[in-house]
Amino acid sequence: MSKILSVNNLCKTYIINKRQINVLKNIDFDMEEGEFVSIMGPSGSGKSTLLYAVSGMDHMTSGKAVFAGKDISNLSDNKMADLRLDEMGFVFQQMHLLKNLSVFDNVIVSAYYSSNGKKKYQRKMINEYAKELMRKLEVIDIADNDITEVSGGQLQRVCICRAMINKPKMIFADEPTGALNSKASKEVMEELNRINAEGTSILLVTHDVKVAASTDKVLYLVDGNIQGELSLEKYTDKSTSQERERKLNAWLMEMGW
Amino acid sequence: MFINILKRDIKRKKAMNLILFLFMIASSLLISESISMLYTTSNAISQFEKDSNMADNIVISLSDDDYFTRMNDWATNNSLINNIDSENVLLVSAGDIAVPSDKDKLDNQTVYLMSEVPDNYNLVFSHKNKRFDLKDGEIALPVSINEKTGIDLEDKISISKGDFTKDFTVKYIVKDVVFGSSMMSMKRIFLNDNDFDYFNRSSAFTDKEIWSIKKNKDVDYSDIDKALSAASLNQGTPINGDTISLTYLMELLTAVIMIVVSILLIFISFLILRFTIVFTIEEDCKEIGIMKAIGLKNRTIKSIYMTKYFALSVIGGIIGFLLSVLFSDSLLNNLSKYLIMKTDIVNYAMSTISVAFIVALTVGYCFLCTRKINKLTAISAIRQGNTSGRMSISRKLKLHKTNHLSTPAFFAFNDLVVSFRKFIILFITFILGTILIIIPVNIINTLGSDEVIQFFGLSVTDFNIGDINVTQNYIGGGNISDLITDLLTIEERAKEKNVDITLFPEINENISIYTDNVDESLSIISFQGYDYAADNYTYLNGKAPQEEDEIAITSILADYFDVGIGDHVNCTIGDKTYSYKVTALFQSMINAGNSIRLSSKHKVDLKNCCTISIFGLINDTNVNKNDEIEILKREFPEYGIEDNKEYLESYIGNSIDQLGAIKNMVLILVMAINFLITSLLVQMLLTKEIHEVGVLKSIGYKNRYIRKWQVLRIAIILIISTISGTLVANFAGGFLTSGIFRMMGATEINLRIQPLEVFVIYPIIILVVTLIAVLVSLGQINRITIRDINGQE
Repeated sequence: MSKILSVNNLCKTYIINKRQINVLKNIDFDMEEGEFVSIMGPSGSGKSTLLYAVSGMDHMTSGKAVFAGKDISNLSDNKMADLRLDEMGFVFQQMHLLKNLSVFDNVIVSAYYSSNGKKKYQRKMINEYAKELMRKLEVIDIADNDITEVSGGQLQRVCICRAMINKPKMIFADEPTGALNSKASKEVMEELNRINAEGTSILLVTHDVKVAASTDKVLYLVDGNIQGELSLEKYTDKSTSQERERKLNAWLMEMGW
Repeated sequence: MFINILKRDIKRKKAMNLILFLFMIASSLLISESISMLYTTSNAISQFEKDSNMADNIVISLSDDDYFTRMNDWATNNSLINNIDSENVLLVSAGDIAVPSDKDKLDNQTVYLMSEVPDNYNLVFSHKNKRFDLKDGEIALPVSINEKTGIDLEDKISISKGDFTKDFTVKYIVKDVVFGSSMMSMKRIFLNDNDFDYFNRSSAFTDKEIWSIKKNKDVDYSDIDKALSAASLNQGTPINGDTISLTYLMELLTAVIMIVVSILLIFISFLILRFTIVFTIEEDCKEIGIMKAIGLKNRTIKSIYMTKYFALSVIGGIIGFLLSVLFSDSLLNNLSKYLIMKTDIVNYAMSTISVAFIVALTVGYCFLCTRKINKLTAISAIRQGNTSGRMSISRKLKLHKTNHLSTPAFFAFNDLVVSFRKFIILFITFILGTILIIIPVNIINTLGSDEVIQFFGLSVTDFNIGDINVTQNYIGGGNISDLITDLLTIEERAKEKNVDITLFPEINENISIYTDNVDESLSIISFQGYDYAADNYTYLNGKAPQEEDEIAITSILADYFDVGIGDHVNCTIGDKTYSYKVTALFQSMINAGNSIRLSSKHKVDLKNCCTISIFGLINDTNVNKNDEIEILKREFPEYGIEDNKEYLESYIGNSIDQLGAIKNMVLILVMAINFLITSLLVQMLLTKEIHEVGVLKSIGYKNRYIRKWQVLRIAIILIISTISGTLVANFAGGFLTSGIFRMMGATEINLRIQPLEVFVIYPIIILVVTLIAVLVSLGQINRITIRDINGQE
């Protein structure tokens, strides 16, 4: 398996009121293609900052991040936008959908914008693919609704559809279940696992042990450093969930969770 | 928290606060300036009339013994009259006055009245507002000549007619209340008594008498005019206090337009205020909720926001007022050349009151806008204004149903459909701005077009003989057949130069018109194209008068006397009264619409004639008429030949110039308003849309496509508004400006539209300026990152 993401010596520093705050300190980690990695850690440890820095959403202060063979640490804004459009997908805790678009339009908007979404026949194909995705994620019934008219769980699944619409190599998810109840949270994770099983790599930030337990690898971040890394088996069987959670909990206790 | 909210507001919305502040300053400046200007100008006109001891009614007659006796007899023991005086003047034409070679020529259509310096009525003043005397060889000229030709103090001019010639040095440039306005077609020039007597000895000059009548208290100007008409003493257009004030209309018009623009500016400022206040409240919704939750009263919360707007209004108002004081002198500078201007404490008081009123209005309006705070409950505010259970019917467009529209274009259209109210300010501002620019352009083009001659009730001809010497001897006497012989001679002379022309005189007679009651008669003038068919003129309704007892009247007169086609009116011409049947209605800006057209069969008696204009036609249709006119001008300079445009320029040239200046002022103002409002709105909307911009960036949108969305959105508004504004200005412009034209005598004006100018050039100027404002304001798009939409650890 080849590497989808390789992070070396990544640092991120903010200067606030002339005070230098080192949020990320010399981070190194790799992700294989098809891997599902979660980042855990206490509040303020730099989890989201790391996610945004390695996904090119935010600039890193120093270091290097290579995504799908491309060094994103010095990519231009336009090239980075192309990468986000074609090869990355994003899922946020607060969903961040466009309120002036219907649910279905939110799913297809980035596909219509891409170079494969300009022609009528291409758009027809996009529509079909979007419906297929929404059907799989069981949100096809709300396709014509306003985003204000549906539940949080449904919205998050819509966000996953949006993230998947351009068939990205990797999905970056920032606490995708953070705003959801346990039932919705479970449904969303099932979908992410299914997508991962189909070959899409996922890097996810979470506070939730249950969520992290369904990933292949857990990175534990404290004060901008990766304190530890726990490899779990590929998640394939629901029946192993409790065992994975126990293992993760024990490891987290060691880490000082 | 109070201070933090204010601090954050000032820090984060620098540009918005600055633009609001600029609008407050501009509104206060304009309202203060225009009110002060209107007061100063109207006050200056009435004060100037008093200082000059201006006569209430003025009659300009020929120096005729019989008329002299009749006028004096009429005035004696007349209960309407307090006093009457007359002053002898001599008529000179532009051709009789030689000006320095480096100065422009005098206007041919203007009648110049040589006069002694008056010492009783209608006094004149030097440019330093002082009375003056002249020595031998000194001359005083009105400001209008100085402005038109550039002749200035100490320049040398000479007047010659027949064997009488004299050189003069210009000693004073004078302000003349009666004849000084740019709209008066007669101008007085002043000599000392000896020089006047020298020319008065010559029989080559036509003598005229200026009668100055002072009315008794409680008598109206029109009563005197009617009495003069009834006694057949009317000579030409009646001049009275009202009509003289009216001649300064263009001077007042600038102030009135400034008031209109400032009201517009205030209106736009209020729209912006409402938008910014609602925007700020929405933005601070959470803080407002927390303040409510901890028990703060609505009044207290409102006061946080009111402090800022109160400060903006008061400081903006004070700066606007101070600027208006600074600029008032330069704005009144041009007017003060014609009038004696005095700025007194009342000016400042009026400016202060108007600014204070605007500030109070603004603060009151802001208070009303903060009512939204009352409606928010603590919890709905904390939830960012979301009230549960409220669902709006979706008006969204469907992206998946668009086949070819790019996504930025879709966003732009969708925003306008979904959030139309957000963009109303821009729509209104752009539409009003376009109308304000296009209407003056159309008026200027209309007044500058060849067809405008029809608005004067005249026929479209090729040229005019401007030199009054050709007709001077026939006015007030003389034989029409001799005049025709003179014209035939000119035609023969032109033929010798291979230019085939036909000349005809357009004769104006002094007439009194009434329907039933002779005491209600009105002094007007008649038109008659001698030996020139009445069919050649344009009429609004009816058929051209053909028979001797038929006439056409202006629609102004038809309204005044409540008569129409087929009705009869009585006209007193000289000492005889005739009954005429009205066969047609027409319009004429000459004599403010108080005129009639007689048929070609009317037997003219030049004794009653007040003016004669000679018009000419080029008979050969195969030649370039302009070339032929140039030949005539070159070969016969003594006739002062003018083409249509030059002829009309003497009537309306000044108005066109003033309108042009107003148009330029409005263009600059509108562009500035468009620029500021667009910048303000784009920045505010962008602040509100940071979330959307961040989301679009996160899914791979490039900055330039996000800019494209924002630019397209404004461009769509701009294009729709500009087209709407242009259409309204072009199709309703005639209606909107009808009041101004009606005052001038024209009742049915079809504004001339220059498509290139009004559909292309000006809309493009508006588009370019506004789009530059959009692009300048979109700079912050590059700086928006995902961090702006997401709380990040």
